[in-house]
Amino acid sequence: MPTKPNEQKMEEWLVEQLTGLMDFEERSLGNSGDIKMIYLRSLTDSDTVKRFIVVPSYEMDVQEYENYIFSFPGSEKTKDRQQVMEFVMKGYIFIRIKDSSYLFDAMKIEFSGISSSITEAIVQGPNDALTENIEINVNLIRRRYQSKQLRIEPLTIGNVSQTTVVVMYDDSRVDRDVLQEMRKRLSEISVDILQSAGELEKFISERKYRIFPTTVVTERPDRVVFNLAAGKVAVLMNTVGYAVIAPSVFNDFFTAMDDKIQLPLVGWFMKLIRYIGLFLTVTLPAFYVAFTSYNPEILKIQITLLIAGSRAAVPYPSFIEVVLMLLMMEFLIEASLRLPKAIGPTATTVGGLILGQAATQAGLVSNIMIIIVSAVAISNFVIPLNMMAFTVRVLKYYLIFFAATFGLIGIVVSTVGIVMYLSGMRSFGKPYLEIFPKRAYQGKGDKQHG
Amino acid sequence: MRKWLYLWLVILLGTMSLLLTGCQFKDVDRRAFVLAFGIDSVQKEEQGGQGREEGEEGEGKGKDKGKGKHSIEVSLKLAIPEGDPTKRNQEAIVISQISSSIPEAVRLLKSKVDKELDFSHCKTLLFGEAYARNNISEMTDWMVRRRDIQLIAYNGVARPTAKEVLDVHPKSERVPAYYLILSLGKEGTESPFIVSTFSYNLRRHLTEQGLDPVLPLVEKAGEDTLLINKAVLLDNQRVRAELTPDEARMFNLLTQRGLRTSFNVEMDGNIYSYNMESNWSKFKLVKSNKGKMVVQYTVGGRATLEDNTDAIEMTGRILRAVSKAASEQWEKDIKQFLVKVHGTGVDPFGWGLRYSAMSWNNATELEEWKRIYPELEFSVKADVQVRYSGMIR
Repeated sequence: MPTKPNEQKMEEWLVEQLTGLMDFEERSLGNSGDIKMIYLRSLTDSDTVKRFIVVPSYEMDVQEYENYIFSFPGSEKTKDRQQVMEFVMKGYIFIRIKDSSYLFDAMKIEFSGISSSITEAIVQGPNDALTENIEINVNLIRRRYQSKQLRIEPLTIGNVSQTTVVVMYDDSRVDRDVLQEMRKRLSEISVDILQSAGELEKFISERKYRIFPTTVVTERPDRVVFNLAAGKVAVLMNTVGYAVIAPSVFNDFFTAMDDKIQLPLVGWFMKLIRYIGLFLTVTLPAFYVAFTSYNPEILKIQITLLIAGSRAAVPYPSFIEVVLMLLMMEFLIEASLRLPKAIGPTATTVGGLILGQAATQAGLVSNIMIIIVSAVAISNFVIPLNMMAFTVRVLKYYLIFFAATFGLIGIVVSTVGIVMYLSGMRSFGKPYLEIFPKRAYQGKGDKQHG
Repeated sequence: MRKWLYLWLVILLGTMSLLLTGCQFKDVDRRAFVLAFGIDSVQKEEQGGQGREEGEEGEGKGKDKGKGKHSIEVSLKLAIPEGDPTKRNQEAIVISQISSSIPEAVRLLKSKVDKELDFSHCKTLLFGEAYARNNISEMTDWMVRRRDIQLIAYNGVARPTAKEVLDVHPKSERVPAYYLILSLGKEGTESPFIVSTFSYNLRRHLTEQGLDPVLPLVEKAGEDTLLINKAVLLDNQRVRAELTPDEARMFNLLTQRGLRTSFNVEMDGNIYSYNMESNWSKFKLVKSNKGKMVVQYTVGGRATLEDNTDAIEMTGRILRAVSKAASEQWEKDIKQFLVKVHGTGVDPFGWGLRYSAMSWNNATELEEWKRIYPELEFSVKADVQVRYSGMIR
């Protein structure tokens, strides 16, 4: 079978496919007319095109030029139409030299530089956050994990977005079952667009409707490395500055990277503080409802009388008061999140000070309620990982409902319900509420590589 | 589609049901908290007071005479909640009702307030003296059975009447009736003269065989002062004897460890006073060689010398002499006290309980104890060690 018509046909096919795209370019090169290049302007680096493809084509003969092009790392000789299409869409340049087709890597990559971590800020310790470029992310992790056992498996997800996803693990430490499960779940994903770690997290988790996150989503390369060393699997995506780590236990969401840095006692204390914060933020509003409406005998006399007195002007039952105030707080948080940075403080001033003060003075809510709402809001933010912090924000309404219907018993039973639900959860086959999880890898003295 | 409609219906109904609070849902501001409870007996017209015992001058008030069936008066001290914590005093009101039974009185009292009566913070229950001298079993029974009264409440006998004691608003009191809780529960003052009794203990000791309850006596000492330094001994339903402040302290000394108090001892015409740092006491039941049962008390403690009237220079010899004198004083006083308690025929220390715990003849031990009790003899051995803090000249 003569190759020439085939190559000609491939070129024609490609042109046919790409015609109509705004940034489609088709050029003949050199004096011989034997060289033709096809590419998409927006995806390629114009400087590379000019310096390494256009200019040399006039300086050497066709044979030399063919060798020259093929000598670049990343250049490929191909006959596969599908591959050609895929690579052109990625930013490769299709070059036909006489009878053969080449793909030349001239990808233009726009990304934000390595910035410091925002959503998981810590006091001391490394500040780098993952970027939106996978090459750099792999570099960030490789640099911190210099082991030949670190395996990196690339794959592509998303029929349209064609997102590059990378599975990373330490071959000597990883839990094989988890790895198998991860590969299986990733291969089963079938979506058009994949552009955030949260989506990926949703696709690879066990249940569709669930309230607790089963995989850690982090933007810190040091957390990724820490978990890789513990034998976990990390999934990174191109165009996303977050990594998904599996399997995860409940306790992982209350671990800040500070804990390793702090002195042991201080670290434990910080962790204890976080769990107390969790307890307070979930139960405080529910306790308020239960104490004011069902079980005032539990409190001391002074507090009971104080609540009774400050509630005297409040016309609505306690749980409406609580829900009203908590909703106000949610609006405040949501508003200060979405507002442009410059007018952000306005929201806190208006909402926090004026609203809180005015609401008590108008007798819509009691003084104690304001204290509780602020305590709830503050203690919510001690949870280091955002996914969990959002979960906890929702969880307290569930407790309020049961406190409003059954009082203290309702709180006890619904707390037991939460614990039972957590006990039943699995993260990639591993028990989620394992308090002292056995590490997949038990190293000598648990020293970190690198 | 249908599924979603059903889901929405459930959510809608759920939300709406939350808005219908119903009548069982009472917020804290719709409850009137009873902080102290008092009960008095009211003189019956027919009997004209002849069935009464001493100490009832203040009761009755005369105005309710003629309603023969009424026999008790229930008084409640209610708090009026004040939301502003910077305000100094919480106000309180006292309401009372004469009726034939306690539940009936409480029902009637409900129409005297605008809120639901809530007994869950009622931590003091007082018996008027006349009531306590008659029979307190109805009241204790009601108190134990009523579910919202916490049994960690404190009990006491009020003189002259519970109502009058509740009506006193001491100046130092910031929360209504908190004076009684702080002092009866020793949460505030740790006066050695206050005998405190939880209501669960009162009830148990009333029904226990071989152990009788003791209650503190709360006296109205003026317009806005209360005095709690005496105690009363009860048998299984009524007050049988009253203890003076010194005896109340002696009672505490024999039943508590680490009582904070001080004593005086006279030696060579000089009065030494010493402050107790620790104390202990135990008793044994021993058969004497005459065949009588002897209650052998061994008490002791460590104390520091606080002052002496003649400014004598302390030496080890003098301290040993003071310790010896103090021990002898204790032996004398305690024995005298025990004999007095024994003479009233009640058993607040649980000698009878100890006896039945020690003997195996379950069927007859109580009768035996009834036979033994009047013949009981006492011996006390005290060991007080007085120390001195030292001095730099």
